Amino acid sequence: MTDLDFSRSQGTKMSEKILTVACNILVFGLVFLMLRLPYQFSLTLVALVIAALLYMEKSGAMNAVFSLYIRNKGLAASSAIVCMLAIPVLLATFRYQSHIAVMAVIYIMVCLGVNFQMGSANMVNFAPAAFMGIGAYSMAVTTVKLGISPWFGLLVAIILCSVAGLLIGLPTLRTKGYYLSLVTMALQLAFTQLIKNIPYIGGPNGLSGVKALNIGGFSLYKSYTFFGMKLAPHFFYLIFCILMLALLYYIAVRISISRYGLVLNNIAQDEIAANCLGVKVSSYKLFAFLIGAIFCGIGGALYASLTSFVGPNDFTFARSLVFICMVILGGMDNLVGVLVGAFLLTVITEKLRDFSDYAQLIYALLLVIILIVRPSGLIPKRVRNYCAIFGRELLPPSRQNVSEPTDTQ
Amino acid sequence: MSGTVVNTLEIDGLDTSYGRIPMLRGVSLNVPGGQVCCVLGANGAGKTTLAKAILNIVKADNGTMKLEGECMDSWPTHKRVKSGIAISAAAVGTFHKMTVEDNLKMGAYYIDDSLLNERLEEIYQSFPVLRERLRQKAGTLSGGERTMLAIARAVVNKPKLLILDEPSLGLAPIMVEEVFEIIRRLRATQISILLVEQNAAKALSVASSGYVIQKGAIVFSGTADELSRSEFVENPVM
Repeated sequence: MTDLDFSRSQGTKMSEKILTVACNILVFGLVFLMLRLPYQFSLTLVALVIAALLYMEKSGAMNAVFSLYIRNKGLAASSAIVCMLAIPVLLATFRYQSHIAVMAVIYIMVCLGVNFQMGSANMVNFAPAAFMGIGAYSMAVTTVKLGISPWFGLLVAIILCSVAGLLIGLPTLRTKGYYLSLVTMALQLAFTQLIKNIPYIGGPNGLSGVKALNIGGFSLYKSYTFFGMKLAPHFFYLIFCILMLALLYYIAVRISISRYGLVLNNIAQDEIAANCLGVKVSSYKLFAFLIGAIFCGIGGALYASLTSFVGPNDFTFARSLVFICMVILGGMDNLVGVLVGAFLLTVITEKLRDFSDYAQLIYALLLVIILIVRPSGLIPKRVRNYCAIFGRELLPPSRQNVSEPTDTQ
Repeated sequence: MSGTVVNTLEIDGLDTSYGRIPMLRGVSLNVPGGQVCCVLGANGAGKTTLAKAILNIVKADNGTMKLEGECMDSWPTHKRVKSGIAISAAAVGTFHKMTVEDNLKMGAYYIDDSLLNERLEEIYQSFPVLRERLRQKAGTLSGGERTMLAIARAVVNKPKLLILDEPSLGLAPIMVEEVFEIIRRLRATQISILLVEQNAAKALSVASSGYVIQKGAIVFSGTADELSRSEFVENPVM
C-alpha cells in the first residue's frame, strides 16, 4: 500500500483550499442524502459509498484526500464543522431523519471510545454497551430520582463511567487477548442482570421521564415553531450533539497522535518491548479503559436524554457487538474509519426498520462481505506519521543525502 | 577485578526459576563502570534469563541487584528502565508495524519533547543507516538494520547500563562485524555494557572482563585475556 504523501508544500494554493471545501461539501452532502432519502435510495447510496470507499482505498485516492486535508487542516476542520451544522438545518422539519442523525452521532461517540481499547491498544472490550448503560442510568437517576439538572447528570455520568472504567480495567490487567475479552463479556452480561435486579432504578421496566438537556430553561429537545415552520424536536439537540462530537473527536485525535497514542499502539504490538522501554504498561491499559469508558458514558447520557427512557434491554451484549462491528467495519485505529463505520451501520439499521425481520440478516451479510473483501475495514489504519499533522518540525530532508549510502543487504 | 572502578551493576546470589524448574542458581556478577562485560555460554545456559532478570521481566526468587550501589530488588521493570538500564534483545523486538522514527521515539520515552529532536539527531549521526529508513516500517528493515534500530532505540535514553542480548544472532558475518564496531564506539562513550553472547571470540574482542555461564551457574570469571585462555571458552559447548 502506498504511504501518505506528507510533503508539506509551502503556502497551499488557492485551488487546494477550494478543493478541500468542495470535498467536505460532497461528503456531508452524501451524509445528508443518506439520512434524508427514503430507504430504497438511501441504501443504494450506502452501497455506492461503500464501493467508492473500497475503490478509493485501493487506488490510493483516499491517501490523496487525507494528504489534502492534512495540508489544509485548519480549513478542513472549520469547513467540516460548518457543513455538519448545516445538516440539522436541512433536516429541521424531518422528525425521523433528525432522530437517525442524533443516534448516529451518539453511536460515533461510543465507537470512538471503543476504538481506544480495541483499535489503539488491541484489547477487545465486549462491554461498551455496559459503559453506555452506566452513563445513561446516571443521567436517568439524577434527573428522575433526584430531580437535579441534566447537566449534573452528564457530569455524574462522566465520573461514574471513569470509576467503572477503572474498576473494570483492573481485573483485565492480569489477562490478555481472548481471556481479557471473556472477562469483559462476563462483565457485560453481569451488568444487564444487575440492572434488572435493582428495583430502585426500575428493574426490568427501566426508568422513564428522563429530562432533556436545557440551557437556562430553554429545552434542547422540544418542538419549536419558527416563522410558521414546525421544527423537529431534535433540532437543537442534534446541534448540541454535533458540537459535543467535534470536541470528543478533537480529544481522540490529540490522544492518538500524542505519546499516549504511540504507547498504546506499542503495547498492542509488543507489551514486553514497551515495558523494556520504560512504559508502565498497566497504567496505560487503565488509561485506555478510562478514556474509552468516559466516551461511552457521554454517549449513554446523551442517549438517555434523547429517548427520555432507559431500560436494561437498551444496553445488552447484542448492542456491544454492534459497536464492535462498527469499529471493525470502519477500520480499527483509524479515527476517520470509525466515523464512517459507525455512521453507515447506524443508517443501515435505521433505514431497515421497516424490514426488521431481515435487518439482522442484511447486517450480517454486509459484515461478512466486507470482512472478506477488506478484513482491515473500509478505511484501514495508516502508518503512524503525525509530525505532518500538527506541523512539528521534521528533520531537514537535505541531510538525508549527506549520509553515505550503505548497502546492508 | 573491580578495584577502584565503581560497578554499574552488582548482582549477588541471583536465583530464578520458570515454574518449578530452576534456571539461574546463585549467579553473582559485576559490571564495572564504563567497560564492556561479557557473559558467555551455550544455548540454554541461562544467558537470556539473566538479561531478563536484570530488568525484572523474569522475577528473581533470591538474590540482590544493585544499580550504581542502589538496591533495585523492589523496582518494577519501568522503574529500572527509568533509572538507566536499557536492553536490546531478540526477546524485546522492534515494533514492526511502526516507522523507524516512532520506534526511536519510544526509546526516548523519558526524554522531554523539547530535547527529543536534538537527541534523535545525535542518534542519526551514529546510525546513518536509520536516517535513510526514517519513514519506513521497522518490519521492512533487513536483519542487520533491525539490530541497529534495536541498539539505537536502547541508547536514545542515554542509559547507564546497556544490556545487549546476542546482538550477532542470525546476522551475516559482515553485519556482525558492523554491530561489534558499534559496540566499540559505544564503549568509547563510557557507557557500561553487559554483552550476552554465544560468539565468544567476537565478544572477547570488545570486552574487558567476562563470565562463563553453564546450566544456570557462573563457572568462570576473569579478564578477557584469562577468559580467552580458559578451557570453557576453547570448548564452550560442554
